[in-house]
Amino acid sequence: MSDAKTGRLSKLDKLESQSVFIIREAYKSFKNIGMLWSIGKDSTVLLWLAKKAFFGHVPFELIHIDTSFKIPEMIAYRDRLAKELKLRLVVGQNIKAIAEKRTFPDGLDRISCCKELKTIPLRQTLDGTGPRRVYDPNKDAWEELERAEPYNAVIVGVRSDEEGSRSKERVFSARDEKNEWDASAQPPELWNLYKTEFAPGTHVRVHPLLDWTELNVWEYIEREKIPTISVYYNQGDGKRYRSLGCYPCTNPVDSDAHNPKEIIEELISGKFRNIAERSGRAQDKDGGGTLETLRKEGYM
Amino acid sequence: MDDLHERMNIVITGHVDHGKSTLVGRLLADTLTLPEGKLQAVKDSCKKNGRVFEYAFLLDALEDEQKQGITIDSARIFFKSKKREYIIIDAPGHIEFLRNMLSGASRAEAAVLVIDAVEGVAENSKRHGLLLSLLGISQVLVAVNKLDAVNYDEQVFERIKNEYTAYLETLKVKPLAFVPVSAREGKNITEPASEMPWYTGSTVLEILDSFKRLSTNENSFFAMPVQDVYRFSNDNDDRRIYAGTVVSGEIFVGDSVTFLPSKKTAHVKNIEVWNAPPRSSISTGEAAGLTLEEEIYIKSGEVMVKSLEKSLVETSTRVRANVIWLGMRPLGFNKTYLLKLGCARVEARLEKIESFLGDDREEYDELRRHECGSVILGFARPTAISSFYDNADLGRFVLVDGYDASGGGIILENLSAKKSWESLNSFEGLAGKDNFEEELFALLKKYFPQRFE
Repeated sequence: MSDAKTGRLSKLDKLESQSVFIIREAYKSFKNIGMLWSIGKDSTVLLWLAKKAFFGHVPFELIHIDTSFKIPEMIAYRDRLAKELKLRLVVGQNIKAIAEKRTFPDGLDRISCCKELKTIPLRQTLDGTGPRRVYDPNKDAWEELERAEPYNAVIVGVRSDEEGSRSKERVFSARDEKNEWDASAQPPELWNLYKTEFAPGTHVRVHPLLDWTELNVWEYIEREKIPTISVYYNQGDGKRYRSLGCYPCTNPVDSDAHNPKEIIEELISGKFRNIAERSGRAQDKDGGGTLETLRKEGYM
Repeated sequence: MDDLHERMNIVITGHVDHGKSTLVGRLLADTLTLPEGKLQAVKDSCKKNGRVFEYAFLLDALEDEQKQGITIDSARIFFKSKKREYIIIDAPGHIEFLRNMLSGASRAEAAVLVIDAVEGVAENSKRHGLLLSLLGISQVLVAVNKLDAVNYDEQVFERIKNEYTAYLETLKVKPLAFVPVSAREGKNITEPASEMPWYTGSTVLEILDSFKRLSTNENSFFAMPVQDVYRFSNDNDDRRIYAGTVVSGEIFVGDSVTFLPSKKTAHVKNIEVWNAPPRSSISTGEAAGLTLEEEIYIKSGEVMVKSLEKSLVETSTRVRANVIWLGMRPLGFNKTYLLKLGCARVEARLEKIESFLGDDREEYDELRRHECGSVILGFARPTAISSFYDNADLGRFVLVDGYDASGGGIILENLSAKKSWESLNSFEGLAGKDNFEEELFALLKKYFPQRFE
């Protein structure tokens, strides 16, 4: 929507158009593509952009990796939105690791827990070897699948401003057969002529939100009235989540913000003006480069 | 609310160790854009490891970068001045990472080129100037850095300024400003430096803020490459939606449109939106989708223009272009490459290397890695293009060798009137025969009506 006076697109319009272009390019380029949906604000914005790109349809599956330690509201919200927006939802989980108690609450260190409950099931869900629970919106029913066709590519909502290694990502980013990322050997990516040609067996991550900041995401949520999960807002106890993850490792922040508008104020001139978003996440604090290490192995 | 509308992408470029990351680190620190405690945390970590603190450490985030003290890949860094929001792209200077520098620079509207006052103009300083001109980035600030290491000597600054200005003139690039700075000491970055009273110009930050937003194409002719055609009939949706991003101009419901190169025409029936009020027009920069009164068969990659408007979009099979080659294998003759332009994908061949840019090599047998040249390319079939200077989006391309994105370039001129390699091979007889396609389409429609209704 361009400004009537200047004819120029606003910053948010530009971000929206650019992301829609990328999502359409990804959909056109890969045979079997999915979109990761972590239930958080970024991937929910991504979902909204997909609806815009395809005029109300979401012509691919949404993938959620359930660690079993997600904040309970997240799962309720996920299932409700899948039903309302008629989304085909695929849920992957490392059932074995959970059953064998290889988790942080059972004594494992945080980084290994992320690997067990996120990276490994993500890899197995993407390559089709892991079990999946699939929600079919037309039947309004869940079904269990033992194996499935691998995805050649997934659309992911990571942003450059979240963390150092993410600031260096390409929009179309290749992973090798082991799903690993070589950050120092990325191909050129010129203008919006993205590299969409890949050897068979390559797995590709597509990143339409790299140029968005945390503030942009909230500005867009406010403008579009995107339904977001309640735990982002202060429910009366003076606390809210700024970034969502597993409850043993993610802490709410002290905040009075009750809605997107108040969050925007908090980010522009309020108490979070100069505080990093992921400061409530313990996994980022265990020494330098840990998130990069996780990401090289296939973590988001 | 001005700042909601303003954002500019800027690339910081220059030779390795000339101080790019330090300059950006300084900008972040001095404008208080860093997250709370970040500066102190990096300082503490340096102390613990017995290293001298450098502002560059604020940026080089990858482990290998910190270990080796170099920037490997360009980072997007978000930064705010009083005037607007920036994405600074800190591009690596090492020749090995030229592809990363180009990737960063291709997203930028303006550039800061850093030159080390001690070392002077390096070969890479020249190469980067050349690449900026090749990418069409005309707003350039040259920061002559490390003036503290030469006692803030005006002569050193003037010498570099004169030498580099003369070089840029050969490329027809006119830098907007030269600024003497010390990034490490924070001189002339956000605050004027008393050590250089002889410099009366603006600081780096003031000049960044004075950069103009690129003139957009709203008032130009209308053009929209067709990215894809959608038909989601599974979900009881009857619409056939032609999707794409408008690269210039504006179009209204009811307008008569022509697709190039097929020359098929139709009228705009509706501008489709989801979860937004109805639209009667779409304009430059919008990722749009529309339906047509006459449902016609269009391939993705065709360019939609207005039938009644004189647009600078032409159908071509042969162009003169400037190319920068990044592939491990050289760009050579007798080989087919995939050329990506707008949303079109077409096979292309190198027909001639007319000159090497910024170099006087004698043999014109191939373009090797990191070389630039002015070349002639032939396409396997007619493709809608513009010259880069008429329409940047339809005048630039990427060349793919196998699976590798190996080169990029801009179109200088359409040479289509002249003989092309396409007419010399088996494509002849089919190419350009619009009837064949139309007749085929009519037959398909007759026998598979449900696919087209």
